[in-house]
Amino acid sequence: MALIDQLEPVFTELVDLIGQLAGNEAAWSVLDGEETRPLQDGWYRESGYFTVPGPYGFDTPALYVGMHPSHPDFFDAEVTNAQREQIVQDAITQVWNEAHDSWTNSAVVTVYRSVTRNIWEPDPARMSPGVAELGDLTRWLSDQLKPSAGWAAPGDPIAPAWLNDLQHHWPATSASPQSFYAFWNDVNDKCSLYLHAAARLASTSAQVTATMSDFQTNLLEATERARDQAKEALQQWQAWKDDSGAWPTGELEDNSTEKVILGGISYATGVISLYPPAAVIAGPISVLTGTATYLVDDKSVVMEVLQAATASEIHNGFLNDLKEMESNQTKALDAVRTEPPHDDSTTASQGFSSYAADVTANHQDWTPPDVVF
Amino acid sequence: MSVIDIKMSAIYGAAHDVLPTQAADFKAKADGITGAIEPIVAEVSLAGNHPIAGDLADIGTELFLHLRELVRTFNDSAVALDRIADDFVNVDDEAAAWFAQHQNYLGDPDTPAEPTAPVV
Repeated sequence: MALIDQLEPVFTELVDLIGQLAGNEAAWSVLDGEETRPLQDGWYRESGYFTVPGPYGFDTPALYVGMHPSHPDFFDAEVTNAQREQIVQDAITQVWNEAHDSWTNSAVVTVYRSVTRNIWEPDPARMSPGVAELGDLTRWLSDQLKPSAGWAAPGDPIAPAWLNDLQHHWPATSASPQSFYAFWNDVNDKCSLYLHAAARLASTSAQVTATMSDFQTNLLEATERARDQAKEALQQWQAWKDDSGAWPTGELEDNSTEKVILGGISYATGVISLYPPAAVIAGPISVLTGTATYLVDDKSVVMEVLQAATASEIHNGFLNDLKEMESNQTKALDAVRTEPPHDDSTTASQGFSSYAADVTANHQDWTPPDVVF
Repeated sequence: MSVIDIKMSAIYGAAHDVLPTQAADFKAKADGITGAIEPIVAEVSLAGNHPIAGDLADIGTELFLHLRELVRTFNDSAVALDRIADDFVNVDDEAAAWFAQHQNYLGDPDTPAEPTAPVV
C-alpha cells in the first residue's frame, strides 16, 4: 500500500480530533461568557449541568445567569430558568458543531498532504530492486579483477589458452592485432575503475533509499503521535471536568525518551556507515529494513505538537513538525551527497557529488582503448 | 590436435563464441544499470528534485557508456576476427579443408544487440 493511503486516514482522523478540541474550546467560551456576564439586579448565577457533545463529550456543572426568585417578575416571566439553562445548552451544542465542522470541512488535510509531498510521494520500494542490481554489478566487476577472469596479455600465465593460440597461430594474411591484445589486457584495469564507481553508486543509492524509507516511516509515526496527542488532549478535557486536575496547558508528557520521530535519523554518519561501498562489494545489502538500526540517541528532535493541547496549537505544531521533517529529509540527502564515505575500499575520500563530477571528467581516461584490425 | 586445428579453432572460437559471450555478459550488466538507475532517479526526483538524483544519473550513465563501449569492441572484434579467418580460408587450402568440416562457423558471428541507454 502506498504511504499516502496509510497516511491520509490518520490525517483525516487528526483533523476530526482537532475539530473536537475546537468544539470544546468554543463550548467553553459560551460557559465562560455566562460566568463573566455582568449581573443586573434580581439576576444571579445558577448552577446548571451541561453536556459538551462529541465522541469525547462530557457532562459538566457550570453557572449560568438566571432570574433570582426575589426578582419582581420571577413568577410572571415567559422564560423559566430551566429554559435559560436549555438555551445555554443549545448554544453549546451549536457552537461545538460549528467549530468542529469548520475543521473537518476545511482543506487542512490537503495542506498536510501538500507540505509532506516530498516525503510520501517517492516510492523507496520501487528503488530497492535497482539498489540490489547495482550491488550485483559491483560484485560482478569485482570478479573481473580476479586472475580467473583471464584479462591478460597473450603469454601471461593467467591468459586464456585461445588467446595464446590466437597470437601463436595468427593467420599470415593479416597483421598481428596488437591493439586487440592491449584492449583485452586492459579490461580488468578498466573494470577496477568502474568497480569504484559502481560501489559508490550502489552504496549511495542504498543510503538514499534507506533515508527516504526512514522518513516515510517517521512521517507515519509522527502523524500517529500527533493524533494520539489530540486524543489525549480530549481525554484531559474529560478528566479535567471530573475535577481531577488542572487545565491541560501542554507539557503533557516527557518526550525525552522519544527517539524515533523526526530527529531519530542520523543525517550523515549513520546512514553512510551502514551502507559503505565496502559493504556493497562484500555482499548484498538490505535497504528497507526500517529505522531502528541507526538511530542516534542525541539527535532527537522533540515534536512541537507533543507540547500542544489546544486545537490551534496542535494544528500549528503539527504543521511545523511536518515542515521540519520535510526540510530534514533534504538535509539528510544533502549529507549523503556531500559527506565522504570514510571507506578504505575505494579511492574516493570525497563527497558523492564531487566524485560524480570526477567520474564524468575522466570519461576519456576511463574509455577502453580502440581496437584496429 | 593439429596445428591448423589449433589455429582455426582459436580465431573462429574467439569470433563466434568467446567474444559474443563476453559482449552478452557486459550487455546484460549495462542493461542492468539502465533498469536500476531509471527508477532510482525518478523516485529521488519526487523527493523535491534533490540534486543527488543528478549525481546518481551521471555516474550510472558514465558506467553504462563505458560498458557499452566494451560491448561494441567485443562485437566489432568478433566480426573482424571472423572476416580475417574467412579471408584466410579463401587463400589457404588447409584452412579451407578445415572450414569444410566446421560449417558451424559459416556466416557472421551471432553478436548481441547493444544495451539500452538509460533515460535520466
